[in-house]
Amino acid sequence: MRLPAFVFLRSQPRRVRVVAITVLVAAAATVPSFASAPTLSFATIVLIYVGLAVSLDLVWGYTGILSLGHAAFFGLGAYTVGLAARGGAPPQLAVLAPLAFFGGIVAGIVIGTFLFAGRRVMTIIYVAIATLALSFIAERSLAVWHYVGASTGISGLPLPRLLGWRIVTPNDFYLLALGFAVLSYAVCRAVVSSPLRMVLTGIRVNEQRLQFLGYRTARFKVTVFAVSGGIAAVSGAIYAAVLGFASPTFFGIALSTLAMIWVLVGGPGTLLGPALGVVLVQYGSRVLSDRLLGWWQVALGVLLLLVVLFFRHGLAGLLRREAVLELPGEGRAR
Amino acid sequence: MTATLECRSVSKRYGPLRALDRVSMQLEPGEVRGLIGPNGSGKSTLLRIIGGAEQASGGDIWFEGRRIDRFSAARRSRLGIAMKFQIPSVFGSLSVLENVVVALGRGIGILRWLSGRPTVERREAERLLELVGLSDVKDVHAAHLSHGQQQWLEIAMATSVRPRLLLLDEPTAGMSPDERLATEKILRVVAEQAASIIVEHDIDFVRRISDTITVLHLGHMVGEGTPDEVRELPQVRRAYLGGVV
Repeated sequence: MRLPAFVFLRSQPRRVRVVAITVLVAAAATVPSFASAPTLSFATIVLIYVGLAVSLDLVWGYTGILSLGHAAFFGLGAYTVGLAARGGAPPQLAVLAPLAFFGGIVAGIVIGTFLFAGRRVMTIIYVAIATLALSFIAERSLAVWHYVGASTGISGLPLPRLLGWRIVTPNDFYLLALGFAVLSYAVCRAVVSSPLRMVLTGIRVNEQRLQFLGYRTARFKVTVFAVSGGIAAVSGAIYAAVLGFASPTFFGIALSTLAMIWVLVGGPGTLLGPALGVVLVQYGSRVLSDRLLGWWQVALGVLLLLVVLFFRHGLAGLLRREAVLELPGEGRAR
Repeated sequence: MTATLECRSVSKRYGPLRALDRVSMQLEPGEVRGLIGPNGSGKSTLLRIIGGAEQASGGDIWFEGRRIDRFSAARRSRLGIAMKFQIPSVFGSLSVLENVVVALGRGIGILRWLSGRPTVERREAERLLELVGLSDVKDVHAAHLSHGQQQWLEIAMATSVRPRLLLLDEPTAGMSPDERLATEKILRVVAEQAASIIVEHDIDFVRRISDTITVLHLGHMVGEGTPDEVRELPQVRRAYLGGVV
């Protein structure tokens, strides 16, 4: 039997979400006041990853495009900062973040056109393998390209700036990452809260049906893929600015897989779920890697297996049972 | 006057199997054509080829004087051909109203979808749902509709694009007698707006609603004419309708 509070929450999914996010952001803003330096660094990285997670959720969870090489956009953004700042000039994020976004958009349009602009609807497996291959090609190419530092990448980047704000302390980095996480979530939420959600759902559920209604579905897919790529690229740009280096591994399969795990564990098609998925998986990895040493990745694999087998809607699905989140396919009917 | 649809010697092979063999037919504007025949006669295949779900192995298809057999399904739809599938393929996770709004919104640009202003489509969707009797359930997820209601929603979606040719594959399949009657009323209204081809197993239903009937058997066209003419064709009576007509 459900508690009356949960019955109320179930009837108010949007309000609940707004309140939940406001509380989460307010709580996150207080972290620097009590967290140790290592914890703050960890939290900063987690928040940057949130951008990558929600961008992947936009294409996969909402539109049904399984991009297994989404880290390629992340790497693109990282190298945008790396190349711009390796001469010694402080990376100006007010310029480089939009530049990374634009680069991600262009890359998304090019790759998306290649993948989706055919007459036939490409299966989810085809797209997954093609994006995985592109990510692999990008990683290996950079690893042997000496102009961009080959396998060592570009390191020793100066501290970044955002207009007049010199980002120096761990607190600064944390607040930068928090601002980016909130912004990337807000952009993705704006997209899926608009009526465009109906078309994206149609593409995910039955793309061929939409084509029989006269839709040029490729245009929608390319656009969403490009916007998602832009957000992932900004995520990578901020990551490189915070860490002070860019590496070919940022493009790689390992990070792409990790992003997929965040979304799966959090619950595809919910945005908030994958954002929480990043926190859960990264925190779990941190704890497990301390205690289980080399076995922690095995434990992570087992966790993923359990989620796929028993919790198809991930963390969001568990919350949904208690009426806190709205799942895809259970959207408003008004 | 240019025919709405012209199929010239349309054939379809699946390996050694000949599903359609040089079938020709012509449909005039506003005409309602019933397509009948036993299972495996090629009715649905012909409909799918006209709609663009499958490519013909031979022959050509003309729509309002324009050859369309190499066009994609989406392009045929934009030209004015709409299709209702045999198995309802509504978007189950969208509401009934949203299904029709999506069907109406094919011409809406991405930016307008993003800005949240398909209000004209919403009003038109409500009108269409009234036509098919689904106004009361417009906010229900389409997956929760009965089979008959999903068929009506399919019809509403197909007609929403204001087609000049409507392809209806078994619109009364799986329906109760009452639902069949309701469907017949809906189709009579719909047929006033577009030429239609109706594939259906219910012979009485086809005879009541069609201006002309084409009979297929094993991929061949074996008869064509008004319902009364078709009824009198000996080969139709003998082989395909079991003498029940």
